[in-house]
Amino acid sequence: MAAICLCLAIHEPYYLRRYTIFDIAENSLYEDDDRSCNMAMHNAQTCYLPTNEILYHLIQRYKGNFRLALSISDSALDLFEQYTPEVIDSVRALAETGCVEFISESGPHSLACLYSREEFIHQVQEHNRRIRRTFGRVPSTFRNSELLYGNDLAQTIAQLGFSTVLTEGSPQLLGWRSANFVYAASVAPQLHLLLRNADLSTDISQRFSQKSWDRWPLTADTFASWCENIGEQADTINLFLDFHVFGLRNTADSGIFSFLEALPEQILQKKHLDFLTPKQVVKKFPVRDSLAVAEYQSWNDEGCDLKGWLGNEMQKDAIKELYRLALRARSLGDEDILRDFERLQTSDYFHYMSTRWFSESQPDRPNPYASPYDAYISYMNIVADLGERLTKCEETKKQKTRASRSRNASPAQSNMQERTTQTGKTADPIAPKTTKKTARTRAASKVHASKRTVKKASS
Amino acid sequence: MQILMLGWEFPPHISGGLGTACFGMTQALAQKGAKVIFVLPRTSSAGEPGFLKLRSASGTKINYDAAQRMQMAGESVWQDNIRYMPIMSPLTPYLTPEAYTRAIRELSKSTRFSETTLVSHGAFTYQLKGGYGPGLMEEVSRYSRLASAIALEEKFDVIHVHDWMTYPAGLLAKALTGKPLVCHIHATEYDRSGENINTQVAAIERAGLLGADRVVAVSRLTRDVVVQRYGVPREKVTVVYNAVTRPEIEHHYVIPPRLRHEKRVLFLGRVTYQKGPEYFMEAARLVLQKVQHVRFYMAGSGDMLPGLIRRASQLRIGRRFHFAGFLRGEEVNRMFALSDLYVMPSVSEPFGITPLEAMLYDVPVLLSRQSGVSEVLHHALKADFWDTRDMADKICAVLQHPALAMEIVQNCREEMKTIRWENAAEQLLSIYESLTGGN
Repeated sequence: MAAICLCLAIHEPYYLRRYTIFDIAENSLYEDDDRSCNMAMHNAQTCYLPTNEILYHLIQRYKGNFRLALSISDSALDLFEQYTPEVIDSVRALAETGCVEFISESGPHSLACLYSREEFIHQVQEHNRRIRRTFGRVPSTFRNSELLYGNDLAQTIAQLGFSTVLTEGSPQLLGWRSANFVYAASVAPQLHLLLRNADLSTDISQRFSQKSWDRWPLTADTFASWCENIGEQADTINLFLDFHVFGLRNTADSGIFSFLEALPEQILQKKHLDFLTPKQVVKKFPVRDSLAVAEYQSWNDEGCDLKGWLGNEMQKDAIKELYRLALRARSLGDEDILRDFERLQTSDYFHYMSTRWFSESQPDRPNPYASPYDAYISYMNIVADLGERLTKCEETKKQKTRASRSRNASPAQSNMQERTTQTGKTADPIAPKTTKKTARTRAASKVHASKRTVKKASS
Repeated sequence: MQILMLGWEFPPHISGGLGTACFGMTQALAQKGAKVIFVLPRTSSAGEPGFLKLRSASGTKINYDAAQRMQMAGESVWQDNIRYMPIMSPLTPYLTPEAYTRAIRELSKSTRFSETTLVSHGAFTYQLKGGYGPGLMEEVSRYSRLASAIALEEKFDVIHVHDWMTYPAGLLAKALTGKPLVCHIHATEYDRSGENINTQVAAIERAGLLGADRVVAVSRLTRDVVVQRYGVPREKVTVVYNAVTRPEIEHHYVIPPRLRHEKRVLFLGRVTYQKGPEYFMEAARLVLQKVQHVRFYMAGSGDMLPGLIRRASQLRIGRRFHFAGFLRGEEVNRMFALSDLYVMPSVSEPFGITPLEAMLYDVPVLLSRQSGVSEVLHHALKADFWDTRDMADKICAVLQHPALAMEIVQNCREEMKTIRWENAAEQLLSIYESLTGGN
């Protein structure tokens, strides 16, 4: 008996404006709202809404026998909430069937794990909270942006309370082994590893629409029989797909929707095949071996490495420049700055700077810039502006504390002083639970303080 | 394969990119085993390269018989294609109205500028000056007869002509010998003059391009101009990109210590409308608002220079904006080597070899999108010439982020390996072969 473990990743980036050096300190509008809106609407219409409808009906039809797992990035959630809330509703409908497992990820679809562990932990915890708030589910499985994973990360993920992590079944990792079993992380034995079946996943994600492929056109029947063959010597067949596969990378006229509709029936017809979510897979099948992932790997098509995001000097320079601001942004705790800081971590922005990628961009995830150099220039200007804003905010904050300190002489202010010290304490990046509250407290104290100054001025 | 190539410039007699291009092209063709006879208006004894036969049109004997045949062939060629009036005119391809009046005055001083010399037995010849001086039209007309006389003497399979000055000669030689004609277009009249074109030059261009068996354009941009403006059928036009030859001896230039903390941005080219120097100055003004420790250099001369010098002083950027004048040979290399960024803001540039030369010195380049070379250079910064803010933003970025400059230079170095005259020569040879039927 083998499981088909279908995991779909939903991610949409905000599109950034062409932000020039002349915009710095003049305006801090980084996002191209029109473009982001258009893409969100377009993708909702051609991909998310029709696919979710099909998935919903499949779940209804097979009464618990068809299951899948979903992950949604924060930027995608933001975009949908802002422009097409019906997508959120459709995902919520899926959640209510009880046949969908929600997988956690680093909120803004970031590469934070490589540059700031505190930032990473914070993002994952925040994202978990958001998933619970929005869909009422607590994730126990984790997938990093771009399926990024390495030994280095195993302990952290385990400590965050996850029992399973998804990553790529890359050839250099597997060697003679098969991706179709449950593995454990060598450095954190309690953490299960599920590896993507690269062949079968790419059959759907890349080759499905390729007319030059010798197996084209792929039918659900054929695909199920391949799964059956593999299933004889496998515990789980992990199909990890970008959600764009349905309707965007493979357009509607490629027949992808009828493929999806027919797949469960064909799979369930086979005696030894079943749909399970990651949580069920690790519960059902034993750990066969432990795996050490010495170097970080991703689901990049070429080489499964990080070169697509951090392959050249521009990419490294840009990401270092951004994370240099991490501590300051977190300790300042200004909500606007934090939101921009988080959004700027989206891995897509670094992908746009890849000189390797340049000639072959995925049409469903277009590079909005004419060249990787333009992407870098724009991004660096934005980060420079963010830095300027931070400095300015820090200065005003300093002035305020100085002002409150000088007022400290009068006993009436003691209450207020207490509040500020509290704020200072809770602005620790590893204690995110209180950030929201502190922000509110600070807002209140701000109002308080401004009233005071007005009073003082008038007196 | 024997090729009769008619050109107007060849090193060391150059005034622009045309000569450089012809040199690289013929050298690569010779390496591929083609024999090239290159006809120039006039040659000096010095510096003839070994790989081709260089012939001077000036002073070639035209005997009576040839003159008769030319008359016959020429009449039909001219009547079919060009309404051509052989008048004395100080026209040059890069002339503005003011310069024109000056040239007219000079012309009237020297009454006769090229002599017809009678040689024995009814044969005669002309002396040509070469270059783009006053009386260019007259020279073009005489060149066509002299070059055709050479065509009657030499043995070859294809006629290959470069730019409009040699098109009449090419048409005449084709009519006389019946050999296929390839017209290479390096720049059109519309590139040189915008909308204020010289109709005579445009008429010659049209005639040559329509009369040719095959047209070779230096970029897709130029192909589109040729197709749209002159109505040449698209399938007749092939794009063959120019390239650059890596100089064998590489000098190392040391940046003077007093300048090391500063960055240098270079404009190098004719200071004329076509090259967009005023956009460079505007971008410089914007950059200087944001970045200190940067100097701008404008190297070259042209009719817009005096106006731009005035403008620089009005903008109060003269302290950081320098005019280097017209540079030659060694000075050009030195200028490139000392620069941190080369900017080519051309309004219309059919190809533009200078960015490739800058890249030989590992200088990152910023190109206008309205240039042919931007079609082959993927790893260069690009901006629309009118978008000076964008241009300034990119200049600032290169100056401020070493990672960017490094990445561009590294990738360009890789890319340069594929931009070679050998590739161009191969394309040309296959064009010749398709025209001659493969012999």
